[in-house]
Amino acid sequence: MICEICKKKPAKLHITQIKDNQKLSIHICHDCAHENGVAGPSINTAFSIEDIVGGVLKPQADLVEQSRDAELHQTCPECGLSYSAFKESGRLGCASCYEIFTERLRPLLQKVQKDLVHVGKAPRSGDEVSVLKRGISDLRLQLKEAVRQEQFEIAARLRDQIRDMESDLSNITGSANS
Amino acid sequence: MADIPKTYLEGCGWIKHGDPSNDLVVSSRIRLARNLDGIPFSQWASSSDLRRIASQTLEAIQACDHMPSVQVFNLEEMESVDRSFLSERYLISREFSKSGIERYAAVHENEIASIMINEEDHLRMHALFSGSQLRRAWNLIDAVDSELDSRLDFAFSNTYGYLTACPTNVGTGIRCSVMVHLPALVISRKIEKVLNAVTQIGLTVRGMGGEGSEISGNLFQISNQWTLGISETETIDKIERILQQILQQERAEEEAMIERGRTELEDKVWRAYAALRYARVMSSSEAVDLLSTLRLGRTLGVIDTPAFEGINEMLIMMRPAHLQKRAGRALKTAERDEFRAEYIREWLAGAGTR
Repeated sequence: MICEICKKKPAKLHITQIKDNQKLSIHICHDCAHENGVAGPSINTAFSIEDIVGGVLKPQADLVEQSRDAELHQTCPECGLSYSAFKESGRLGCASCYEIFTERLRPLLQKVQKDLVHVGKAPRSGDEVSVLKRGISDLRLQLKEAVRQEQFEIAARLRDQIRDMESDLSNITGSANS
Repeated sequence: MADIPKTYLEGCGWIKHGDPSNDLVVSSRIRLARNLDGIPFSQWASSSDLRRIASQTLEAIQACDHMPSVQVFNLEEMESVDRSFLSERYLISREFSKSGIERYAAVHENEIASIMINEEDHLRMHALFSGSQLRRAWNLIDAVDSELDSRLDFAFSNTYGYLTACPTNVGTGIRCSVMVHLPALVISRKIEKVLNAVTQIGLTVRGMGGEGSEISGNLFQISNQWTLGISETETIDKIERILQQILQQERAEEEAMIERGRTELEDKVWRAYAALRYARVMSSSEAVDLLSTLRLGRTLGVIDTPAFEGINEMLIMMRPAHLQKRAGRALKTAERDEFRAEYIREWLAGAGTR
């Protein structure tokens, strides 16, 4: 399928909107999505399909924005380590760095490790909080991967699962949104 | 909290545990890397973070049943020679013995386990035994880890396992190593081929001093490289399998050596013995080489003393910081070589009666 705006590049974003009982669809490429503020760092959150695309996409557009942003700046929000500082020292800053830099780390891990998924001992497998925390960070990795592959339906489902588990976690620990 | 215990000067604790009479496998060691959740890794942590890590982990370690009568060393309060002393007997890493803040070492009463606090990872814990004892080392350090896990929150993800400062340790955080004496493979120049094969299956080979150290005394340390995608027990199995193959090849070369000429071999061993027994000046590298020849002589039955345990212990006790602690003062290099020669002479004189 060819992009409906530039009519040159292949369409990568497929957007559908229902407005006044009318179904509107559009198929566009990355560049046109960027130009029209559907994706990328200068995202226009107020677009509608008349202005190219519909607001239904907003959650997905958010995801795209988050992932692009992380790639651009590549600084861990937990410890402040930049990816370039890691490259220089060979040492990551904190546990969250594995989540933040996961796409960049993967090729490196592929080179030095046997596989990309842990096999072996796990801490306190009976502890509910630890299991929840681990489940959440696991889903976050899957979410990043889904966004990278532009599987937005899966991404949205994962995001909802993460929200549910986070609220379960804060119910158990008694602290809001931690 | 900061002094080297007097008993440490008389001998090396861990050497007596495990299988000290093993002729080819000197020692087996397993270490685990762990970090506390929610605190940056040591290199990037603030001094108050480092203090928090130290106080939390020390409390957990001191309550640990598998670390009886634990001896805690505050490295910041120790002199450089004392820190080197701990590193020379493998209780801490060489990197750790250099200065750094909020660094502690907690050592098992028999020295068979040790935990470094605020090394590259918040916790680096290991178990160490004489001989081919990887299983035993795993059982001990696994138990220590489980006990600490019940009191501390370790950084862990289902995907990546235990999260570590360096991605080369992520997953199990395990490093299993065996130190082996392979003189016949070195003499027959087949060692390179053997070691090349080892490095092609996710294992590495280093000298007796660990990372970055040169090979000396025909001693090789074989350890795993992979920590992600392979379980702890698979890692141990793999090293043990390779170890058996290497030992078979070493034995075959030893037999070939005897066939080529026993007299020449006997001469070489007895000359090494004579130098160790009577020399007045002995550098560290000369001693390491002579002790290797003596060890080969014991393996092949050319000579019947000293015990392998004694040779293992001498390799540690004759190191610079050990000599200086025993002398009770700083020694210049030339002086050290005299002290070393004297120490080895006395040890060999008493070895036959032990």
